Amino acid sequence: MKGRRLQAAALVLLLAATAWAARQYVELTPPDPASGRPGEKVEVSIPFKVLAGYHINSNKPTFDYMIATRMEWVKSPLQHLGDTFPAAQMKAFGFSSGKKLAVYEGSQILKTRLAIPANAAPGKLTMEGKFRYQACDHQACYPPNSVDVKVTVEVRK
Amino acid sequence: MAEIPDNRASEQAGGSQPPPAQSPASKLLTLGILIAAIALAAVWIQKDSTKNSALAGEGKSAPRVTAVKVGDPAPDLILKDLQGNTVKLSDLKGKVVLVDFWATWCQPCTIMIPWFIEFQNRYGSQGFAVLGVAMDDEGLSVVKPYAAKASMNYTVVIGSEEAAEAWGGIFGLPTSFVIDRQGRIQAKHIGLIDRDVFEKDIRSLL
Repeated sequence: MKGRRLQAAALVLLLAATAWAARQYVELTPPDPASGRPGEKVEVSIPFKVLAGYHINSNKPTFDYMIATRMEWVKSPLQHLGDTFPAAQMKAFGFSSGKKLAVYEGSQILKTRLAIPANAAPGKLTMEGKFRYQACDHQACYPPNSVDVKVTVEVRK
Repeated sequence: MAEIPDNRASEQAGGSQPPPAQSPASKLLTLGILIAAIALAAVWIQKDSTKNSALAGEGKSAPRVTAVKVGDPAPDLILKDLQGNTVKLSDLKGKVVLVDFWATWCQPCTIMIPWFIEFQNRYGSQGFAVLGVAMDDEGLSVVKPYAAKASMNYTVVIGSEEAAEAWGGIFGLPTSFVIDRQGRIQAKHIGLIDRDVFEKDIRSLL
């Protein structure tokens, strides 16, 4: 009995700990550095993976009230030219009444295009941002969250 | 109406059996859970205290969470409705109340709203009330137009981190609680479940 109480108390402690922790449903692989000369344009691939059993809305969700996946970049010496999101997967879920929703599942690649300033000195330039998403499973949805992203560009002579 | 076969996260009031003696494997499990809890708490504390909320999202300060369970007295909610009036859950004592934590961006939540409108119409005169707690970060600016468009006929209040915290942390939406006339939680459902489950919960308490 005492052991069972201890187990219950431990479980409550675990639940409390996880209640405090922002749960992530997306894993992001640090992108490989790109390289280029001053004035050139480069493209960086940012792989991300939606955890099994979950999906996130695409960058263009089916309904306007849904929260789109998007990138939010912090200003950097690198000029941000644009992001190319993967094509959405159209899938129906238990809560969508047969309607297919534009989502991402599994492993995907986001591409971002950057311009190296013409006056950039040789060395490393970085740009930081947040990958913002909102996840659901087949029954419930989870609060919007984000994953930090950092891209590096090696500036050659 | 879509049938939802998997009711994975529902709790309802019921009896219990005496537990067996704890085995070595059970002791190991206890130890494992304890270690996991401590490790998680430590990671969270070190990592980023600004990214967490009772809604387990981001951008809020860390709350203190005490889990609520079936049979517990419902924690009070004191929140503003869409007209700016203060609404207290405790003022509804004596009624059967369905408290629904939801958000406008949550599609499973939007499936259930028409059911709740219907329940309010059907059982309102028998001492039943729905209380929708909207957890949108944007608050009134998005919830009010949504409620009008959806013709929500029950009280909707703007939720808060503290409200979610008081109810044990809201891990996913929708999360719904059915409360009896004495103010005790009699059912808790996380996620979209079958409409009939809610109706049975309500009817059994009226």
